[in-house]
Amino acid sequence: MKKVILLRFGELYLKGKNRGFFEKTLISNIRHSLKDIDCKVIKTTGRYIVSDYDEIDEITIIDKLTKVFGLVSLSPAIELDTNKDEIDKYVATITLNVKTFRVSVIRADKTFPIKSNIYERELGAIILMHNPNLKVSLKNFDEEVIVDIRESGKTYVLSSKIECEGGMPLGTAGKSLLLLSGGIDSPVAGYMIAKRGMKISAIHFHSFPYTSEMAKQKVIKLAKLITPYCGNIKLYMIPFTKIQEEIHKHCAPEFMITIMRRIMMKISAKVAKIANCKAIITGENLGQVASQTVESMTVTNFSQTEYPIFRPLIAFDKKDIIAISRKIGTYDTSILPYEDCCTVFLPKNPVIKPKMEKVIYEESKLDIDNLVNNAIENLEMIDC
Amino acid sequence: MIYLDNAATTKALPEVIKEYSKYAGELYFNPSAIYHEGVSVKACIEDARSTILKALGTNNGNIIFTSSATESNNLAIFGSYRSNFKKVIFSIEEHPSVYNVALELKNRGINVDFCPLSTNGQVDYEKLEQMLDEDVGFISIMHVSNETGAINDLKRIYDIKMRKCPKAIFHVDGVQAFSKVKVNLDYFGIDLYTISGHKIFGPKGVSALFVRNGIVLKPIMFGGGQENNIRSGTENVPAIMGLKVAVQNIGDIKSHFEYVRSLKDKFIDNLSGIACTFNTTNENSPYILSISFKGVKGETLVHMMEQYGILISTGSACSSKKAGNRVLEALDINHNDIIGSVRVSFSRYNTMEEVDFASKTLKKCYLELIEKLR
Repeated sequence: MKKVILLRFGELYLKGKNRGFFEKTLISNIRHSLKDIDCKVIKTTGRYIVSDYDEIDEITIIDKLTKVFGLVSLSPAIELDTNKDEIDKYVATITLNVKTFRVSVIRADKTFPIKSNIYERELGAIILMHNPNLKVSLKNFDEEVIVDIRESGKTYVLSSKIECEGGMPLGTAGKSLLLLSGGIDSPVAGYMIAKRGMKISAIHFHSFPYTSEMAKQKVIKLAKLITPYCGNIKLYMIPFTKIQEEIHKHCAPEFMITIMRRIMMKISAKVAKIANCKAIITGENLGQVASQTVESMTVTNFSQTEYPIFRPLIAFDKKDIIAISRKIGTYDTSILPYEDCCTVFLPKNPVIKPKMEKVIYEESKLDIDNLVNNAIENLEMIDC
Repeated sequence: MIYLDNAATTKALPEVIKEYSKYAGELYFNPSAIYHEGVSVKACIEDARSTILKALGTNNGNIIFTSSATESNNLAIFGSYRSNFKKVIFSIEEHPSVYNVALELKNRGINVDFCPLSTNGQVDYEKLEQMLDEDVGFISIMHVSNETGAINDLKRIYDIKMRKCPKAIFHVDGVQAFSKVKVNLDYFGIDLYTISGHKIFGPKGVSALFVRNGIVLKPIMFGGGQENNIRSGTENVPAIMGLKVAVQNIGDIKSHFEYVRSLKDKFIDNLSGIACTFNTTNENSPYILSISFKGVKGETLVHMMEQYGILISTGSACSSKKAGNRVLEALDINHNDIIGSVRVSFSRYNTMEEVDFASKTLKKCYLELIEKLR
């Protein structure tokens, strides 16, 4: 008898001939997430099993696995050799702190001598004998004790089911470049795109001395906070001060934000190439601020044409974004009150529906290629 | 590097570090142990207490060692608060470690009032006199403001207190005063006085709270009964011994004061002709200089100075993250000027050359920034 954790995966079943690739990626992600814990991960038909761990680590293992994309749910279980006496003996030790329960027997091993429905009744009686206050309820039960008799000669007894993240295994959809600002939205956008299998690199624009070293540290911390979901992240720090000063000096103030966003995209496209990314991700959300109108986003989109820009949060309400941000643990860091580069040189009346011709005209006052190349030459890469 | 943020913290003196390592290493024994090694360490702590009492100019009380000035202030206030106090008075300029305790008392339904400031940054003594009456059980007013360097006239406050509420307990947060201005707790009639190790070239993690004889503090933490049962927890012997050495090295307060005043004057002189106001007077502690610049953010100036290796601070380091500044607001300084405020804080170890270079650089940074923002 030993404690194990059973892991279930979902959408992978749909993947036909590619299934092997998805499964291989998933098991390697599971092993990676548990790399600091002494345990074994094996694959059996249709599920994975974590075993041979110290009981004290179980809660940590569960916490880590609930963040591995591609897993749908998991259950702590007891593994027994398939043998009626042993199963009966173990079931007799079960105590349930609920009012009603049922027993479900799954008999994959047809050599097991008792039929499922009969054995369910026998085991239910054993539990009742030791828990006289319980009642059996086949439909509206508080807890279900599952006895899973497998063909491998092992039987698993489990009760609770813990939901995992679902989604696709990280790395099965390539890599993307996340614009990480330090606010609430961008880490959530990163988490969401990672959930569909994309690995992440991140890019941050800083404006020292207008923004502080603390703002930079905050972004590094945010990147680290999402690594349990998104895996290791390479964070590219781009010096943006000179660019902002030049826009401020030469262009009409109401276009500050629009031009800034466009230059950010041009730089991001170059960094995406360096980092081998296939898309650019932002935390933009329709209507949240002036730069997040459909007109602004259109003008931003056309600043570069090499990469698609995905905006996973486009149709989310702020409160829903905040809820995810709290769930993934980035909220408290995101709301630390340090300036980010978007608030420097903030115009009083930014243009809300920028016209492309006007933007191009304003941009013609700048030597953009030179500014972009200069920023790229001075980037700093941090492993998070 | 030119360090002009000495009100935030100071570099421990080499003598302090030596003493600290001695008690962290070879003399690591628990002062509560009953064998010789423990007893002799205990004696060293008692020695440190005497050294500090002497520097505070009193023999009529005891020293309680705690982990920080924040803890000392909490202990002073919560530890002496009694349910029969009808009113407690704080100055509006208190450091967050006192001010937020006052707010907490208020949240608990206690009648708390804050004394406003005069334009010179000191408490408004006339208002204070009006606020005090027989109902007041506790008064906490800081000695030197960590934001502006204003020095409160403690003797005058004591006299008012004796006229209006002689039984009230009088607590003073002396963190920015001790070792910089002359302190005599008997002359000032102070019952509780807080000092901090790391502001006076001592170690971090240690503070001393003076408790006058006759004042009974209730503990706010419970445990092994160390520090006369008032502050449980194994004494931080290395830090306490380091603090002692820092106190022994204070030197001549008056001549340091005059020297630092000349540094402050130089700094102000070098900034002449630019759009800024100095939130200070001639009576202020010269160790702290608050300046409000027009049309820029203090934070940007701090970072520009940092690029030249000059470290100064925005407002007070402990509250600079927050948008406003309670103390500067209490002085009726307008919001934009508060955002443009920086705090320069000197030490006796800063040189005239450093101050000359730093102030000229600050002027240059300001002019550059104004130009870029135009």
